[in-house]
Amino acid sequence: MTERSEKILSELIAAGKKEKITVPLHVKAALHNKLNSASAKKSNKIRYFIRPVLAVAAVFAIICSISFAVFKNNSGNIERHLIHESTVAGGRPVTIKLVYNAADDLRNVKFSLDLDEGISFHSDNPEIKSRKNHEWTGELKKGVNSIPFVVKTDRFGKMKIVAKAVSGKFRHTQEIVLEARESDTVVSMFVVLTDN
Amino acid sequence: MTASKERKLIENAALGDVRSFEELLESVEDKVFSFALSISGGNRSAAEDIYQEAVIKAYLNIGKFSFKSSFSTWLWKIIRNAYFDYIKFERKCGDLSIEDLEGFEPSFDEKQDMSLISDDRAVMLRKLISFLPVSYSEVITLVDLQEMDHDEAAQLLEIDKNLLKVRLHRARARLEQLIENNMEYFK
Repeated sequence: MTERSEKILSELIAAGKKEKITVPLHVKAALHNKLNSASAKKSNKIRYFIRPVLAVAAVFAIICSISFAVFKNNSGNIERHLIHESTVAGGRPVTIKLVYNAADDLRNVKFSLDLDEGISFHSDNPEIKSRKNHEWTGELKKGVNSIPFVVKTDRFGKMKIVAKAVSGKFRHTQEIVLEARESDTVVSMFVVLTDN
Repeated sequence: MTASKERKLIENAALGDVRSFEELLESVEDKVFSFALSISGGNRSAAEDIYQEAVIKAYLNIGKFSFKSSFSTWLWKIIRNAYFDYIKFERKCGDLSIEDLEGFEPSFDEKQDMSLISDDRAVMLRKLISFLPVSYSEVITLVDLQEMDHDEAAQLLEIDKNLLKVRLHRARARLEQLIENNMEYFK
């Protein structure tokens, strides 16, 4: 090799560094559509899986999901992060799916669901229907765990569901806000980070 | 982007939030696409296919992201694997392994077909890089063009840092040899 070829290579590399390569717009547009399509397929799979589990026929369902990589002991002020928002037809039952992605197997996890006035569990059983709170102890396997439940709004306005999972010093809280309107219901899911 | 913001976006994307995923992608897309273009020898059509394939794969698998590396490093790896998948498909060599591909080297003794070379020096470089085996072209792309440091590049390629340096040295030597053999195009 000569100094000349070395110099030419240096010049070419310098030109290559300066070159501004961007993702073509048609690729971005195609990708955007493909991502949305992939997202919809994922949701459909989940919906198909849940329906027989809940034995709720003809329910216009929305699947809200939340995941967290690890149960962690958060510190600092209370923070709410919106993680999902959807609109469903008004007056119909809403299926909410809590998804926990646990870093390890966890036993004796205390779960609770607290419903505001105006929201009820969707069930044929009057006893369940009248409850505003449901608590149980269970376990989470390492990986993804799903807890689906179905609710119905009994009035218009904003109402909230608080879902908690507590295991020892670790806790995880989610708030699901349902805004029931005449024509539709807006469902917003927040993850709540607290210092206790 | 801060690490905490990246983490939050990844967690949201893992829940299926496309907007969070696209925000993550925006911060690295040009560099990652540039990498795809470079390792595919400047073939835009191939780079576009590889890039799209890899991004969709990343979105579908982001729930498995373990936070052991940055999102960009993870995506770079997926791009690289998508490139190998693409080559396997193109060559219809079902049993071809990555090691086989790395061992594949065109002859450097003969003059290469430089007929498509242009006056644009960046394009000329891509053309030259296209004659390198992928194990060399990816090292040149990451270190010399994208100015990635040796540690990060070695981690991404899952090779020892010394091996990275050897490949880089050989890649540059090959490019100089190519220039030498085709000097009439560089006057």
